[in-house]
Amino acid sequence: MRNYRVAEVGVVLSLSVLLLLTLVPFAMLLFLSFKDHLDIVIDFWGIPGEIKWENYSTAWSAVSGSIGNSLFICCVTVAGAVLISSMAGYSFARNRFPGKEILFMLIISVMLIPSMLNIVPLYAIISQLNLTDSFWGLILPYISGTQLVGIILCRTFFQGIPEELFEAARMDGAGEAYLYLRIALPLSMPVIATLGIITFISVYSDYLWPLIILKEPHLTFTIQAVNMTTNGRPDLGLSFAAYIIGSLPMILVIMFGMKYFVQGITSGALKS
Amino acid sequence: MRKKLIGFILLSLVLVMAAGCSGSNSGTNASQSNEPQSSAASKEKRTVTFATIAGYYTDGLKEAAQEYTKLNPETEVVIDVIKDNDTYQANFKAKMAAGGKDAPDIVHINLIGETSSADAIDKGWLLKLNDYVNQPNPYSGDKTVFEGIDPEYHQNTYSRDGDVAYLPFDLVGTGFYYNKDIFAKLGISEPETWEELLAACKQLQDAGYIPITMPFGFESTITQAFLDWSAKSLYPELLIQPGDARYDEKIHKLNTSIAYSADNGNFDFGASYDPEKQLLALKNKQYDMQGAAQRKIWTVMKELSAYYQPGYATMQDPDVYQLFIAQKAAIYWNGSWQVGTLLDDMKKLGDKSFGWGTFKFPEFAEADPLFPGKPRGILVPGHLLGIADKKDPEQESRTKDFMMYLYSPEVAQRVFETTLEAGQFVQGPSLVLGVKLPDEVNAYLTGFKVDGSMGYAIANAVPSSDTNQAKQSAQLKYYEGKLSLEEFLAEQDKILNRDMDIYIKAQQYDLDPKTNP
Amino acid sequence: MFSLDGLLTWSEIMIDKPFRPDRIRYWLKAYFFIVPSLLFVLIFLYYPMLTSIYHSFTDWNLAQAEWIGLDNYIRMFNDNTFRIALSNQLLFTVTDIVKSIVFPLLAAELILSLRETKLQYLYRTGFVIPMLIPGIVFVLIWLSVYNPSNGLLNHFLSFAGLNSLARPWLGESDTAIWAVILMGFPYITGLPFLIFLAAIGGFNKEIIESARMDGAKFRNIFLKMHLPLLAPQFKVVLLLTIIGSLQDFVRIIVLTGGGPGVSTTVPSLIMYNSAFKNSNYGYGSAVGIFLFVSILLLTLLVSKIFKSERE
Repeated sequence: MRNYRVAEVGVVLSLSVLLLLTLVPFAMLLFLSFKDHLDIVIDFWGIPGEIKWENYSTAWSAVSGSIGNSLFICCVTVAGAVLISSMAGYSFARNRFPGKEILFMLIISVMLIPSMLNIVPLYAIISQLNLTDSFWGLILPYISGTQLVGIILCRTFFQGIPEELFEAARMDGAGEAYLYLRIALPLSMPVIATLGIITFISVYSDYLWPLIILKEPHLTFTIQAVNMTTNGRPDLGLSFAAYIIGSLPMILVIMFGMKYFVQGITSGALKS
Repeated sequence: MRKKLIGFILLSLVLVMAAGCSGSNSGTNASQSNEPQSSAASKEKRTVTFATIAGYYTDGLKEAAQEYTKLNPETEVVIDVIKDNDTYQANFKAKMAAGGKDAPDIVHINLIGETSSADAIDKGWLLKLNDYVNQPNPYSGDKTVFEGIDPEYHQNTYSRDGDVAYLPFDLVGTGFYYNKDIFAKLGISEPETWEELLAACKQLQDAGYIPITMPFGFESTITQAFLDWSAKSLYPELLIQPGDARYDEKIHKLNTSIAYSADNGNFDFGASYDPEKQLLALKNKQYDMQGAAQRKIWTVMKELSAYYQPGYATMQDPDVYQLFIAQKAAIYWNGSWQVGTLLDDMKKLGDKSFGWGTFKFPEFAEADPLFPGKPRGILVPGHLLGIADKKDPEQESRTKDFMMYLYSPEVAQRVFETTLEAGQFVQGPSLVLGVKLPDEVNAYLTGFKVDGSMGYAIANAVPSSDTNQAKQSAQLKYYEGKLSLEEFLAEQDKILNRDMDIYIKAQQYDLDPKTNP
Repeated sequence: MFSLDGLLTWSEIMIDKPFRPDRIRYWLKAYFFIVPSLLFVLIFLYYPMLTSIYHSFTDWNLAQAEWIGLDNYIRMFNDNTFRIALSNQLLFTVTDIVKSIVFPLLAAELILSLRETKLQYLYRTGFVIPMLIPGIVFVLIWLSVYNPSNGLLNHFLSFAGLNSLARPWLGESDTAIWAVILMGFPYITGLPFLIFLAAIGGFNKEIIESARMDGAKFRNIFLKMHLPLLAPQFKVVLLLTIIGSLQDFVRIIVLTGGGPGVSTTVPSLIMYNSAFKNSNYGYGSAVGIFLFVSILLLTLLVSKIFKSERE
């Protein structure tokens, strides 16, 4: 028992060190958000002469509107990506049909395209669909891009669910839709939470695509935060304060998603 | 589990709906403002977008845009501020490639990443302003647009095909900024020769300072000034002259009166060069990239590089500026656009501020026949405003009207003043006639006043953006002592020749100036 | 993932079970689940990609294009810079794989070895928080760590009396690539961590617990029970890392811009510079298609390895 205690302390200690190192950039962000721009330029790591609280009030009034825009875009994308990829993932995992592997390969292999390369042709499509300066001009490509990881995750996950669970329901005459909605989906909360978090974060922090698609005043949070200026000159302290403000919705999402994530694990639904 | 799941779904639905309401509201507004609301009586409402980069006269332009919209309510002018040059290019290019209907109307053609304005016109991205510049400007007493712009710089606006591609707004130059306090403490005076500059660097280094700092990508402005110095006597032979296929009486008449003079830094003012003659000069080694002049240039550069900031090879501008303003580096090679920023930052620094000044590109202590006369620097039109070709006559005329407004002396003066009040940068003297800068700013700009603006007849003979990295790699190896001077020059020449062949093939040149390619 | 499975299954189905209405109805249902996904992929990913493939055979400068056949590809393989970029990429990819497996797996194992659920939850959330920092800010902070004159790393070295070791990490061709590689220590963020955590947390606790009761050491449990069971997760993480590694150039553009000279440049950076900075979209597309094909081949290889191991 004593040995076990010692091991436990060792684990906690090494985890704490790792966590500390992992959190340094975030702590730096927080620290810098209270500094004046010139203070940051001259002495990046130095302790500021005075704490600049106004960074937060100025940043809030500049980015608050755009956070709403970003939340809308993220939520619709997450909902769309989760729905589509769990459906496809389910079918690829549990059904047998002609061309299955070829279709799967067809869908997954586009993920391998360097996304930068697609920017110009994709813009042409969005422009033809008249979706420029519209949130849908972001959401539709986002769903296409993020669902791919989702399909892989969901397929891997659904393959791990014991066949007996489905067999029993099939005996009772349940159709595919029922199996998907009532068995597969409820069990897949951990995967959905993971997928949701990943999708939300990547969409929330995307920069180049919204900049090309949207115009003022419909900009997303990240564009507003990156472009924080004082008298037309870039202001780093202000930008960092904006990032902190903007990360609050994400922290909520993670805390909330994490709960399901953990529940999914502890409920033992994943026993293989 | 199921209860929680339902809760999760409900909550996300609520979130989506709530966000959706606010989102779709703004979405509908967006589409409304885009739709033409034409009525018989008033002109339809249009938006003219001016794309700029953070800091470039931002506040001044915004004020001008608002004032203009007050005068012309049917045209709303939007100043679109983009964070950095990379994004600026990606944004403009993607939109023009898709037909251009959502592209900005006014762009800085020096920022769109095209090697020549003729290329941008060929692609159908920029309007030719040939007739526009001779139209009367109602905002400045019906003088023509060109009459309102410093006539000395009209020639700069012509592309190699003889089209007017942009309107110049101001001048931009390069020079050495230096920390007067550090110089005074060590008893160093403003260097006037390269020998003095190198000695000053040594003294600064011994005193524990970083002698000289610059973004490495910016070093080429020094080597190009050297190149111009040693090659300028050659320039008159490269001009487009009567009898050449490209000669056009209206545009190239000035060429016939250009004659080389070592003492007149402006001898080649308004010159138009023949691209094939430029290439031939390199091919036939009229200017030898491995010759004595090049050897001297690169010997000086290697000596100078020993005094650069540590890590100069990859350090970017914000970190470089930081070294100068934190008084770690004593000399800072950069463009005149930093003057406004430095003025503003010195005010904010209070007791940490320091005295600073600018000095010119030095000469050699002993006159060298390979480097005749005085060195010239860059003092060229900086802010180059072009109009995107959106194939929409109404949009075009709205944009052109705003440009005229911007180029009236009163409005341009306000743009400069507002910019300076906000502590943003003014690149240099205005080219809009009638605009005056405060004495304080002019005093700092002296280091950028050169004996004439350097020519690029040799330096820009071959556009070489794709191989910049390879060239830089060889240069670093030379600085680090891994390549000898001869090896380095040979390598550089090899890359140049390869670029040249690719370029000649792409342009389908036959290298005979008498025939059209 | 990619195999001839599909064709085999098909022929199997054709031979064993001829077309029957209920079977066709079942197939249709299965297809119905995939159709939305497929539509999105076709419109927003395949169509742009096919245009890019076409452009790679032209000298498209975003306005005019002329068919030049394989010229772009020939130029690419003859280009010395591109060859250096390839070997840099190889080093980046190999180290990225190590970073994305070793550290997240270690953290996941350590967290799940804790008895206290509250502590587990604390660490889990803690390790995810850095995901909230926009990628570019993360790189900017590391840029300041490496700053030669006031960076944390050199400060730390001089504090520890190791002044002689201090150097401009990103500015010298010998150290730059390793400085880029080592950025982000201890690499416990993002998807790999969450994937391992979910998988190991889901293992049957009773079996592992009984093995432990029987006196099995942690090392044996890890090697004999966890590692084999984690095969699908390794595969996913490996694939995601390879894809991410070959596509990412943001860290390089911010830290070194590919320099000094060409010592940290990678194909994706060449693609970006050609396409957007130099308006050489045709050449950029060729490099992009090359990247696509190499990623495809690598993923096939990974799938093959995992397939043969399972058998």
